[in-house]
Amino acid sequence: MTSGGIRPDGIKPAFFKRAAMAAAAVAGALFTGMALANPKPGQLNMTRGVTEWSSEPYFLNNVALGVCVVIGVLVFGAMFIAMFRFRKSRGAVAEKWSHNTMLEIVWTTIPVIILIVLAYLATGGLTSFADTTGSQMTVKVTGYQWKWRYDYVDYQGKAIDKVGFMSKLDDQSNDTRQLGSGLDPNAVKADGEQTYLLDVDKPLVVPVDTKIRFVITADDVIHSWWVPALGWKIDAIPGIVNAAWANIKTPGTYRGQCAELCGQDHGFMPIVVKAVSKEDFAKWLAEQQKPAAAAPAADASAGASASATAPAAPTKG
Amino acid sequence: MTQQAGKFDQEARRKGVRRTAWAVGAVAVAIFLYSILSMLKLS
Amino acid sequence: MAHAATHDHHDDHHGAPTNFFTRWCMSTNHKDIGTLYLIFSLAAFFVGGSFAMVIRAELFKPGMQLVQPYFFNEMTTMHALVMIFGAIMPAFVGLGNWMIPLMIGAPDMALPRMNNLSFWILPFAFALLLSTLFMPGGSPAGGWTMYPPLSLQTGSLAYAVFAIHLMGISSIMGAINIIATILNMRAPGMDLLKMPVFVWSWLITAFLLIAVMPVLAGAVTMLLTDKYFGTSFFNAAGGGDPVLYQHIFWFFGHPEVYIMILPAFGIISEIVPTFARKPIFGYKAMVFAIAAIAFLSFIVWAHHMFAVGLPLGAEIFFMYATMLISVPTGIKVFNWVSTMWGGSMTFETPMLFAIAFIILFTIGGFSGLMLALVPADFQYHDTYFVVAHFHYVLVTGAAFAIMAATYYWLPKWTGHMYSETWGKVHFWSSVISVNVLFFPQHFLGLAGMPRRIPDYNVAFANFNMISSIGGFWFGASQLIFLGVIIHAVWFSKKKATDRVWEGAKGLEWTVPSPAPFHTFELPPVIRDEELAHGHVED
Repeated sequence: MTSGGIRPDGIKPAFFKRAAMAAAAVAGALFTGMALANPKPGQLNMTRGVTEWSSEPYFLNNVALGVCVVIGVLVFGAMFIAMFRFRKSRGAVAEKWSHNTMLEIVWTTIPVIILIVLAYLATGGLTSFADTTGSQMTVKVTGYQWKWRYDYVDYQGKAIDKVGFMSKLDDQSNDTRQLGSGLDPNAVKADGEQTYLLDVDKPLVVPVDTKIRFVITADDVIHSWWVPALGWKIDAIPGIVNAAWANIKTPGTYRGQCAELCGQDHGFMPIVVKAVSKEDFAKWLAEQQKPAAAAPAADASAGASASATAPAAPTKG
Repeated sequence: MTQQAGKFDQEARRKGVRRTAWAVGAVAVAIFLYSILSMLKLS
Repeated sequence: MAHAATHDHHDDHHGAPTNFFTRWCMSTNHKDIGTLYLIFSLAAFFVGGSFAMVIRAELFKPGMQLVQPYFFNEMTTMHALVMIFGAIMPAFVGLGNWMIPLMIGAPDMALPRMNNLSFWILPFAFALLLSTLFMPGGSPAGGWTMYPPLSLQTGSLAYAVFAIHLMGISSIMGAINIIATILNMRAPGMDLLKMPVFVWSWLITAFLLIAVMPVLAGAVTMLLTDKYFGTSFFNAAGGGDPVLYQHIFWFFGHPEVYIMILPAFGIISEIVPTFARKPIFGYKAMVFAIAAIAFLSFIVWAHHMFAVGLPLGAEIFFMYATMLISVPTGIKVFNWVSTMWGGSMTFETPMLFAIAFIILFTIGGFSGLMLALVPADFQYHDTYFVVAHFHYVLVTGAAFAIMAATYYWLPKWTGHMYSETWGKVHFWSSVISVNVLFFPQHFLGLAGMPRRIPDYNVAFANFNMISSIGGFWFGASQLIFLGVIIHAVWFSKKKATDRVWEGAKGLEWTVPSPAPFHTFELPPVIRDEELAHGHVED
C-alpha cells in the first residue's frame, strides 16, 4: 500500500496543475536562483529540495505567492487609482453611495473559488506526506538539549542492531560561536562550503532512492527536526513519537537546524544529512556494525552503549 | 450639543449594568474552572 | 453644560480633581483612565522596543558579539510578552475607554471603579514580570508561548505566571466593563446597528477576551502546578501530554491575535470614511465580517501546531478553517478600498497610517494565507517567514492602527493640533524603515533561518544586517512619535476645533476639544446623518 504516498502528481487533474504551474512561473520569474539545497547568501525563495516529496511545499509556496501577488496588484492598484483620482486637491467631490450588493457578492465568491483551488492542491500534498507506509528504512531521531541522536532501526526489511550515535555541533563552529571569541564565522568551512553553525561532528548517513521513515521523539524538551532540503520539519516531543518520510533523489550533504526553541543552545544544534549511493551506504553500515575495536569506531560504540541506556520513549497512539 | 432631557431611567440602566457584569463575569470564571477541570484525568 | 439634576451622588461633577494623586490614582473617569492606559502602553512600547533593539543588535552580523544565548532568549520572550500584554492590548483598552463612551453618548464607563482597578493592576503585573530580568537565573526564556517542558526549566516561572494571571484579571475586568457599557449605556436612539464600527469591534473583542483569557489563566495555572505541586498535566513521564498545553494555549492564542487586530479594524473603519469624506462602504458587511472572523478564530488554533504531528484529518480541518478567514478579511479590505473610491480624499497623518495599515496588513494577510497551506507550512513553520508574517500584522497592523488612532483623536484629547509636518516625518520614516526591517525576514525564513536563534550561518548575513539597520531606524523613528505627542500635549499653540477633521462624523466630534472632564451627563439626541456610516436603511 504505497501508491497513495508516492505519486502526488497522480492525484491532481492536469488542468489545475497547468494553471498552477503558470502562476508558479510568474512567481519564479520574481525570485531567481531557487533550486538550492542549502541556504545561499541572498537567497530569496524556498528551496525545491531534493526528495520525491519536497517539491510539494515549493510548488504550493510558488502558487500561493503568485496568487497573492496577483490579488495584491489588483487591490493595491485599485487603491492607488482611488488615491490619485479622488483627491480633494483635484477637486473630487465625495459621492454618497455606500452599498453595492453585486460587487460584494463578487468579491466574496472569487476568493472562495481561489481558496478551493489552493485547498485542493494543498490537500493532495498533505495526503501524500501523511502516508509513511512502505518505507524501506527506519531511522529513529531523538532530540536532546542540545544535540541529536540517530538510531538506525531497520534497512531493507532487516533490523539493524546497535548502530546509533550522537550528533552535535562541530568543534570549529562551537569555538567560534562563543561570546567574544574573536573568531571569524566566515572562516568555518567544510568542503568549500561555509558551514558555520550548520555542521556536526557525525552526520546522519542515509542512502538515496530509498523511502526512509523517520520516527522522531525527544528526551527532555520539545525540539523540531528540520532539514529544508527534505521539505518538512516535525516536532520532536518527549513522550510522543512522530513519523515522517523522505526519499532523497540526489546524493549530497543537506543541512538544517533545530526549529523549536529548546533552551539556551537552541541555535547551536544543527542537523546534517549525508545522502550517499546505496552501495556506499551498505559499506558504511557494515563499517558501523563491526565490533568496536578500531580507534575510529570508539565513539560509535559509545553511542551504541548510550543507545542501550537511552530511555525508551513511550509511544502515543 | 443637543441633550435629551426627561424620562431617562438611571435605575434601569444601573440594574442592566449590574446584570450584564455579573453574567459576563460568571461566564469567565466558569470557563477558567472548566479549562482546568476538563484536563484533569480523573479515573 | 446642562446640569444633571436627576443624579447627584458625587460632588466633583464639574472638573478634574486638582490633587495629582486623587486625580490619577483614584480616578474613576473614563478619560483619565484611558489616558493612563495609553501612557502605560507607550511606556511598554519603548521597553519592549528596547528588547527588540538588543535582539537586532545581536543579529546584526554572524557570531556572538553582545549577549549570551540565554539572555537572547530572555529578550525574545520578554519582547513578545511586553509588546502583546503591555503595549498593544492596553493601547486598545485605553482607546476604548476614551472613545466608547464618547461614541455611544454615555457619561462614563458602566463600572468606573472596576475600570480604575483594571488599570492599576497592570503596573504591578509588569513590575512582577520585568523584575524577573534581575533575578538570579533570569527571566522566562522559553518563548512567550511558554511551552512545557522547556518553560518548566525556568526558575522564575511562578513570577511570569502570576504576572499573566494579573494581566488576565485586568483584561477580563476591562472586557466586562466594555460589554456592560456598550450593552447598557448607549444613548437612546443609538441602536446596535447604528454604533460606530470601532465600538462594534470592541464589543466583539471583549467577548473574545471573556472567552479566552480564562483559558490562558487555566493553562498557566497548570504549568504552575506541574512545576511546583507535582501534577502531570503536561509531563509525559507522569501520563500527561506536552502537546495538550499547546492546544489549550493556542485556543487562547489564536483569538488573542484577533483581540489585537479587531479593534484596529474598527479604528481604520473610522479613519478612512473621515478622510475620504464618504460613508463607510458596506457598514453591515463590516460588522458581520468582524463577527465572522471572531467566530472563526475559535476553530483555527491548531494551525500554530501543524508541525507537532497532528492526525491528517485535523490538519486538513484546521487548514480549511484557517483559509476561510481570508474571506471576511478580504471583504474588509475591499470595503475600505471602496470607501475611498468616489470619495474626496485628503492625506493627513492618521489617513497615511490607515492607508499603510491597509496595504501592509494585507501583505501580512497574504503570508498568513501561505502559512495556512500545511505542506508549505512544514517549511515555513518556526522560521523567520513566520516572524515576518506576524510582525506585518502586529506592527504595521495593530501598532500602525494605534498610531493612526493617536493622531486622529489626539486633538480631541488635548485640544491642540499636533504638528502635521512632524507627524508626516514620523509616518514616512516609520513606514519605510518597518519594511526594511521586516520584508527581508521573509527571505531569511524561506532560505531556512529558524526563528529565536541568537546566531546564524553566514548565508543569512546580508538580509539580517539590512533587517537590523531597518530595526534601529524604526526604533529611532518612534522617538519622533514621542516628540510629536509631547509637543501636542504641552507645547502646541494651535487650538483644535470641536469637529477637528472636516469629514469627521460621530458623537465624539460634537463635544468640545479638549473633551471636558464629564460629557453626555444627559444622553444626546442621535441624528443619523451625524453618524460616521450615514444612514443604514437596508
